[in-house]
Amino acid sequence: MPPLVWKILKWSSDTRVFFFALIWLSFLVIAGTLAQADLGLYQAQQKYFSAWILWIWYIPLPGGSPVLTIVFVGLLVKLIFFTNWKPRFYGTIVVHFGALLLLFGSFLTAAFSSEGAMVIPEGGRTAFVRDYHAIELAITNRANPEFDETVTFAAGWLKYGEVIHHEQLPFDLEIIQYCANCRLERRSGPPPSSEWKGMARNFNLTEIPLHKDDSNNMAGLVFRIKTKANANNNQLDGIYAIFENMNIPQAFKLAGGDYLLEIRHELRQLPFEIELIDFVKEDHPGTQMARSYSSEVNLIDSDVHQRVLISMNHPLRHKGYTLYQSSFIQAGMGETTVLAVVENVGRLFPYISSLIMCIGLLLHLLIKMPVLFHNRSNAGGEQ
Amino acid sequence: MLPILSFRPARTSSRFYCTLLLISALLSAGPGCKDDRAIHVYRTAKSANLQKESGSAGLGWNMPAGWSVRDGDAMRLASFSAPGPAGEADVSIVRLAGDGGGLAANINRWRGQIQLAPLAENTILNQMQREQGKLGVFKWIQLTNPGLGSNAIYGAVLQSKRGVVFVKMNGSLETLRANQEYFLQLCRSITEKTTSQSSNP
Amino acid sequence: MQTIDYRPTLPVIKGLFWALLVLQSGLYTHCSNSSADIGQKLAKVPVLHEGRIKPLDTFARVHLLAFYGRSTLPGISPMDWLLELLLNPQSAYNRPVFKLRNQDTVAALKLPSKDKMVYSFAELSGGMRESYEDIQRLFRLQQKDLSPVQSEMLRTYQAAMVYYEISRSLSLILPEYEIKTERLARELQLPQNTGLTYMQVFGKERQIQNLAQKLIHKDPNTFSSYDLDLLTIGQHLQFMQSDAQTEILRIVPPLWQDDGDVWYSPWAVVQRGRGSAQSARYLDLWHNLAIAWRSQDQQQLTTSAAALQELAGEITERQVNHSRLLLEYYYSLLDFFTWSLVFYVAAFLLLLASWITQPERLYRASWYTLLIAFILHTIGLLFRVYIMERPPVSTLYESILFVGFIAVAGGLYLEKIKSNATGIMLGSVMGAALQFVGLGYAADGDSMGMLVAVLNTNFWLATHVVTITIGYGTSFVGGFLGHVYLVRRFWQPEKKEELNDLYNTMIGVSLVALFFAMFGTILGGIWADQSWGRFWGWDPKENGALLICLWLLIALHGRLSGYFKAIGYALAMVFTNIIVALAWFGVNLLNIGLHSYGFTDSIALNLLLFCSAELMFMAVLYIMIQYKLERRPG
Repeated sequence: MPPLVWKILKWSSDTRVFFFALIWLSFLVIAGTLAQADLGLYQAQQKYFSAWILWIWYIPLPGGSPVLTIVFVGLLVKLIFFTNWKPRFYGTIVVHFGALLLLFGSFLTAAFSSEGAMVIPEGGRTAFVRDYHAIELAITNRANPEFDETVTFAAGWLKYGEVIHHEQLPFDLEIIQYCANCRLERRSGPPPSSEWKGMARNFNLTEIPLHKDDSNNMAGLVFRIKTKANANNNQLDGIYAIFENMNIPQAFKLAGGDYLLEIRHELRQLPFEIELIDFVKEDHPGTQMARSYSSEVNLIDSDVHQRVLISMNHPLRHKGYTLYQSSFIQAGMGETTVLAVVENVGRLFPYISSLIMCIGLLLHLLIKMPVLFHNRSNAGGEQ
Repeated sequence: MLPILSFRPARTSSRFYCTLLLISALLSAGPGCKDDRAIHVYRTAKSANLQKESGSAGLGWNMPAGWSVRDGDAMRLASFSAPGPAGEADVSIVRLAGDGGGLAANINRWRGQIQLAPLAENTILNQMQREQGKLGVFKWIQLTNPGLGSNAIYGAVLQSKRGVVFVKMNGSLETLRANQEYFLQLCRSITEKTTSQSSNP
Repeated sequence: MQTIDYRPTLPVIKGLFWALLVLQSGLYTHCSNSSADIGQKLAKVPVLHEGRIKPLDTFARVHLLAFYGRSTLPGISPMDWLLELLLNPQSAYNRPVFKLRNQDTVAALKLPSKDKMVYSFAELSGGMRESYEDIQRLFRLQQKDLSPVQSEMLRTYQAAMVYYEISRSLSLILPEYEIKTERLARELQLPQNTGLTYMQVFGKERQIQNLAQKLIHKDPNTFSSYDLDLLTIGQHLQFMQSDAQTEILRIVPPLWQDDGDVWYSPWAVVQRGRGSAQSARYLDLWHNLAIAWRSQDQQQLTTSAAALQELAGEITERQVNHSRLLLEYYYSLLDFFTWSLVFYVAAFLLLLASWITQPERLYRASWYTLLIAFILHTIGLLFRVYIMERPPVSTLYESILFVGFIAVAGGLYLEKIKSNATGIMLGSVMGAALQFVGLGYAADGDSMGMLVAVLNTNFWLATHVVTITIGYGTSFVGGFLGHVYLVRRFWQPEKKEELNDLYNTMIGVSLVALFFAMFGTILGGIWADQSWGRFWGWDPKENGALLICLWLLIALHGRLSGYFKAIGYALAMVFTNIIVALAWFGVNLLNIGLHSYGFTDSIALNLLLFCSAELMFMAVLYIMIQYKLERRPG
């Protein structure tokens, strides 16, 4: 092995590197926590903790990911190459191994987990989960009386100048404007040209800063429709605008299809369905303050119906998904439950690793105890 | 002390490459696996609940008895028609972010719709009446144009957490008068939907 | 060599209990109100308030806290204050009880300025009538947009509304009517010239209405005394209808299956038809008490109070856990935590004295005083655990009590093995400081409030919350030892062996602290994973806990990598205090928005003071030690 590589290895596992990595991490934690007051939790997390590069003004600084990577690599290298296998170090070895597992698990979680919410009114059922953050463009053909056919495009497509082309669609879409949070503004004058159609004729989308609470952001999209030559109908060509949760969604009929265009939070289909039988909110007696809430649901997998009670601190786990009682909506007549749905491969790692770390630290304490807390009176020290 | 010890190059080279492999595998897996250019195609039954948020987007209300819901346009959270002695009146609920462009601008837009000249904010405020509803105290106004015949507007302005809510009832004055109490009843009943997030311990 | 004798511990506990009882009840005897023992008799009457059944005594104290800022008024016991408000509102309205904190608020509410800024309801409502419009406008603003004066105005207004609601809670059984003319008395078949209650009159409502109908066309100038009598009683009846909404004093237990565990206020019983023979008897007894109270007939007062006490006792036994109610009464009465504060301070003073004179004796006295304080502290915690049926820590206030408990326990343990006064010093200072901080939080309202749904799980409260709080406590122990080390290093640098011993203890304590902080943080993550599906969400509270772990890791690895020598490590330990304080209290400021509150808020100000004091201490001691080293090389 080349000496330079060896040097790098040795350096990466040096306690001093760990020391400074931790100091930087502490700084990130403090800054990221304070930033939550202005940015909200999600954006602060993206900016400080998940990011590889943290931009402060125009200065690039390491974000949370590189720091954790350095710590992980250091611990790994140390464990493999530079471990001193003497009994008095057993405690620290175990702790370090546990920390390694914890970090590994967090990699898995960061990479492969997904979370979203299911909103079900009493009596309703669904197999779809709405992502908390990711936005998608969905084009649904409703012409078939039996089923709807949907094509979705993830947020990576929603950039200025991007042209979306799909064999199932009789038209192409060119993205003209995308804003993660927008405001509708009534045009003061007539539209710039007759190309502007539908809602876009009377309204402008203006990009505004992201709201702290991600659920308050309203994504909007302006795009140009260009029908394909074989569709034989170019009257629809023009510029359209859509935004999240439009009351009258943008739709048009073309080449035998009935298309609905929506911009929305990403929907994912679960391999099973959930039906809400009853939502119960129990208050502390004589107050409006909730003591507990729970949803009685039917878990419908293939043809099997199973009754399950999901409540605070008692989630439902099924096929790798975990469903939690997250919140509820009470308005007008019925009640609606909101279940958080999480899929996380790395879910068990924190449990195992924390157990290992705690055992290790306890071991270390027991080994060190006699030295650190020796009884002076027994040792015969002077008063 | 945790010293950095044991320099044993003879046995380490295979371990070294394993480590390298592991780290690089992890690093490439990490950021790369969430595909932001994914395209999915799927079929769903007509009846499937696709988790659409209701258009009311965080507001709830009680529709007065006798009224009916009707289709509105993209801007509206809800539209109703209110029957009355002189034809139906059109009721709409609209919410605009922030201050919605200002109270005076919006009331003057309504005034414009029945061909009344715009007024200064102070004058408008003086004409408005106050009522207590679930969103707190709100203001409402009756706009009539005697020169124009019977067309009139009742409008209410309510402050919600995510912007200003405008409730407008437009129709012949006679119908509006008959529906005044229902209109106020609707305004009073508008609430933020009480959703409760589980907070952290 | 010091030895510590544990033998007297048990009798000490027993003695303490009785001593406190005598001391506390003595506090009220000097204010010999004619009804002093009436209040005491009715103190344990159960009432449903803020989601749990509590003794009427607690109900009174909690509201006094909200109005007056303290749970007792000078010169009158909380129960007597409450009874006066319930039974004779008109005289209670003139008793000053609303304490304002700010002269600007006094001016804004158009009140006359007073030195102590304590106002009666009569004064307050006069001022509020004038500023009513302003207050209504404030209700529409968001909490964060309110200036301190405005939020004080709102708070006062709300307090006054609650006060008024309490005062009208029993209005339906108070003698508020009187029929003066014989004719009306005859027509309504009610007695003449005696106090009548709403309960007696409201059955005649229709009749009164009919009679009053006839007056519509009559010229008011020709009204006879009969007509006026009729009108007065009619108006009064209507006025009383507005009291029907009062729900705050839920003293009538549920007797109906479908009521679940919801208790009703007297008005609600009548309005919703939830009455029964028993509730009627109960309200009758309250009525008798009111009559006796107003006539100030001692004998009648005593008998009616005794009857009421008996029935309340029956209700208690049937409906609620009697011993919990009783314990809560004694918990408020004995005030363990304030007394433990007194003993902590005494222990500290005795220790200081022992360095001047009589080292042996005073040292031992200081040890026992600390032990007594610790026992009181522990009893207080145990009372809470029993009364609330939940683990000792679930609110910020309780965490303060528990961190103090852990820190003192750590001090006692260190003293036991080292016997060098450091432990006593640690225990008395930390105990006193935290009990003192706790007093401020106890003034926020009922310290035994109910919990939101997600916290309503004894398992996680007992594991995660307790563990992380032990982490805070042990971190403070480490931080304190850091102080001691720096001071001794400066004053007695020649005692190398003792300093080294202290250094080792410091490392040991920080390892223990790391263990609990880390274990607690991870348990928190597991709870979060169990409850809402993610182990870690970078939430402020989680970050606070993580920060403590990170800092302790930094300190330990700084030592390993040679950056921190003994002095550096001690400085790092002192800095731990800052980190813990920020993670503990600072995080709570974030939730309400640090930027809008600024530093007007007292928690923020105190936190800032604490952190700067610690930083000052670190800087000064470091410079002093370096200076001394330079002057005496080697």
